[in-house]
This record gives sequence, structure tokens and C-alpha cells, in this order.
Amino acid sequence: MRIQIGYKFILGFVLVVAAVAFSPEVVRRLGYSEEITKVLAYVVALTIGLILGWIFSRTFTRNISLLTESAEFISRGDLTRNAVIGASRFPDETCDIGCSINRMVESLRELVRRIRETAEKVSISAKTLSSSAQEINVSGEEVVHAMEQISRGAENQAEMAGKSSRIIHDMAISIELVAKRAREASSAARETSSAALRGKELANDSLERMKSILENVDAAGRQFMEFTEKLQRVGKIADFIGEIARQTNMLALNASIEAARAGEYGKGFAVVADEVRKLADGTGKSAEDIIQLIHAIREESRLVQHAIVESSKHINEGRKNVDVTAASFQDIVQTVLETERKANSIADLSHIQTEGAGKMVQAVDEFAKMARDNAASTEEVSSATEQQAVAMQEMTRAAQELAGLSDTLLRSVECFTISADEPPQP
Amino acid sequence: MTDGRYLVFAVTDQKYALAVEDVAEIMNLPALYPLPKAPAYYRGLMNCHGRPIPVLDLATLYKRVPLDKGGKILVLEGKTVTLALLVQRVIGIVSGLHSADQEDGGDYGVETSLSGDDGTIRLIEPEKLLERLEAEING
Repeated sequence: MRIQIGYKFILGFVLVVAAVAFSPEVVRRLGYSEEITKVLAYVVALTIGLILGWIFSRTFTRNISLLTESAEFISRGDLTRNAVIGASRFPDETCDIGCSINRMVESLRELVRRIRETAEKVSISAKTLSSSAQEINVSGEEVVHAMEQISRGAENQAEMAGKSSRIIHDMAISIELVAKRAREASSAARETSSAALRGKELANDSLERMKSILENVDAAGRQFMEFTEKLQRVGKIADFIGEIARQTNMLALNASIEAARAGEYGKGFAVVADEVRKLADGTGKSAEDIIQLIHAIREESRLVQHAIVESSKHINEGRKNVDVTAASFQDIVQTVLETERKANSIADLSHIQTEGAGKMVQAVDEFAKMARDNAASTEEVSSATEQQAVAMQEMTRAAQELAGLSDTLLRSVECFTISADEPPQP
Repeated sequence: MTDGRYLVFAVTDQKYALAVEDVAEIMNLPALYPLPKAPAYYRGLMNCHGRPIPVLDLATLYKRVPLDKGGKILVLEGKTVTLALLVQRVIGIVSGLHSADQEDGGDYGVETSLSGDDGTIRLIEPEKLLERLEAEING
């Protein structure tokens, strides 16, 4: 049952008064003298009053001491201990104070724990932030360096784009010249084609003429063969005449011999025989001359026939060459036509290339403008990056200060002990 | 100088002559039939109008280059024997030849040489040729 301290004091006072009031009666019943009874009554009443006072103040004093001790620990930062108020049959306000102190200690403990954790986290975050800010700062410097390079590269790019524009312009002029030359080549190829066609017609005409010549040569060869055969027959006839002349000569000799054997009567016959022999001799010599002439003609005809055969071979080879020439002219015509077509194609393509080169010049000019804009933008980005670097340095300093503040806060709460296994802080 | 007419012929490069009266006939070389055990200058027997006549090769006889082929046959009409001479070629009947030097008798039947416009010609005398041949055969 809960009894307030005031009521306890009142109850004690009442009990002491009652004890003082009733103790003389009790002592009197003991039978002692008046004086003794009076003294004894006072002693008994005083003793009973002390005992009751001690009984009534003992729990209170103990609780107050416990609360004082607990407050003393809290004031030193020791939050490990709770105020342990003994169980009482009649609790009072000290128990409430003990419970409140315990809740306060618990709250402080939780507060200190959270402050520590937060301070540690803040310290770690501040350090991380500082490190990150430093890295960002370094990266920012690299970005600044890179942006400067990009800026210089963009300027070079713009310059190179200008040069490219001029080169492409020159190239467009060259392409136009190529187109002009290609048109001239096409015209020349057309003229060559006409010349090749005329050459082909002439070659065909020459071929026909050579065929005719070859046929004539073949006919002449056949006629010459017939002539040679007839000449051989003439030779045989001449041989026969020669043989007849030899036989006649021999007959004339025999006739002369017979005339000589006839003596005087044979003289006239001898003259006739001698004339016959002379005629036979002349015939034989003429036949011999004919035979030699035929041999000479045969030798000449053999050379002529050889020459005809050689000429026929040469004409045949010439005809083959003319055939090849005609085929070559045909190939030339085909090649020249193909050349003309390719030259026209080159001219058309060159015209397209010229237009493309003009567009390329325009695109390169735009590219140069973009490069200059990029150079300006990169300078702006470089400036912004430098400003960002300054801001990051300031942020680094702020993060370092924040880390210092979190350390200070951590040191501030380190004087509070919230766990029994923690070492006591100074 | 004589008035006789001579049949001039050649044996290789040497000209020879026969009196026309000693010659019976000039013929082309006919088929010859070998004569066994006869001297080499006997080329064989020929058929002359049905009579077998020995053919004497003058080139072989006079130690000259023998003929390979051809040649003419001179048929000699003697009093006792008929003989045919194989010569290279017949030049003709010539008259007006002069008697020149005496020959040394190296060639059978030749003891005299004649001279004419074409040079020296050896004269063959058939009787002396036959005598010389008979003497060689007999002796």
C-alpha cells in the first residue's frame, strides 16, 4: 500500500505520542517508585520514540542515500547503474524518484548511445565526404586539365577543319579536271573506235585480197605443176630424140662402114651416110641442148616452185596475221567502246563527286563552326570546373570541420559510460 | 699422110682408131654371156645376128679404168676370126690422119700412132692384136 512520506511522518508522530502517553501507565504497573517510574517512563517513552523514529526513518534514509548515490553516478557520467530501491510494503515518493531516475538514466543512456553512433557516423561520413571531396577536387583538376586539352584539341580541330575545307575545295577542282579529262578521253576513245572500225574493215578487205592472192598463187602453183609435168614430157621426148639421134648416128656410122667396105661403089653412099651422121650429130646435140635447157628450166622451175610454196606459206601466215589483226581490231573496238563507257561513267561519277565535294565543304565548314563552338563551350566548362573545384575545396574544408565537430561531440559524450564493460573515461 | 678413113673411138681418156675396112658393125652393148676360165679382159660372148662372138674389153686389156656400164661394141670382121671390142664411146669416122710415131707396144695391137686435128690417136691393127692375144693364150 502506498503511503506518502508526510503521512508516514504523521503516523510516526502519532505513534511516538501514543508511546509517550501510554508508557508511564505501563511503567507504573511495574510497581516502581514514583521517581523511578517517572524516570523510567521517560526513558521508556524516549526509547520507544527513538525506536519508532529509527524504524520509520530507516527506509526513507536508505532510499534517499540510494537516490543520492545514483545522482552522484549520473553526475560523474556513469550511466551503467540504475537506482535500486528496495522493495517496501509501503512504498513512497522515493520509489517514484528512483523509477524516474532510472528512466532518466535509460533515456540518457539511449541518448548518449545515439549521439555516439550519430557522431561516429557523422565523423565517418565527414571523413568520407572530405575524401570524396578531395578526390572530386583531384578529378576536377584532371577534368580542368582535360577540358583545357579538349579546348586546345577543339581549336586544332577547327583549324584542321578549315584546312580540310580548303583541301576538299582543291580536290573538287581536281575532280572537275578529271571529269573534263574523262570527257576528252571518251571523245578520243570514240575517235579511236572509228579508226579501229576502219582498220577492221581494211583488215577484212586485206584478208579478202590475200585470200584472192592465195587462190591465185595456188592456181599458179597448179599451173606450174602442169607446166613441170609437160616439161618432163618434153624432156622425155628430147631424150627419145637424142636416143634416135644416137641410133641414127650409129646407123650412119655403120652405113659409112658399109660404104667403105663397098669400095669405089660406096663412095656416094658414104657421102650420104656422112651427111646423115652429121644430121644425127646435129639432132643429138640439139636434143642434148634441149635436155640441158629443160634441166635448166627444171632447176629454175624448182626454184620458182619453191618460191611459190614459200610465198604461199608467207601469204598463208600473212592471212593468219591479218586474221589476228582483224580480231585485234575487233578487240580494240570492244576495248575502246568499254573505255568510252568507263570514261563517261568516270565523268558522271566525277560530276557527282564534285557535288559531293561541295556538300562536304559545307559540312566541313559547319564542322569547323561546331569545333569553334565546342572550343568556347569547353572553355566555359573549364571555368565552371575550376569554380566547382573551388567549391569542392570549400566543401572539403567544411567536411573536415564537420569531422572535427563530430569528434568533439564524440569526446563530449565519451564522459558518459553506458555499459558496464566500458573503461571509465576521465 | 694416108687416104684411109678411120673409125675413131675412146677408151677412157685415150683415143684409138681402127681402119674402117676392119670394122664390120657398130652395136650397142647387148647381153653378155660369161666365158669360163677366160682372161679378165674377155667380158663374155655376145649374140651377133645368131653368131657367138667374144667381146674383148679394151679398157681392161690396156690396164685402164674398166667401164661400169654402157659403151659400144665394135665388131671386127677378120679373115679367120671375128672379134668384138668393147669401147667407151665412138667418136666418128675421120679421114686425113697423118702417120706419127711408132708406139712402144705397150697396148696390144698398137704399133703406130696417128696425128690429126684433135691430137694423137693410137691405131689398132686387128691382125697384130690377134697375134698378141694368141701368143698370150698359148704362151
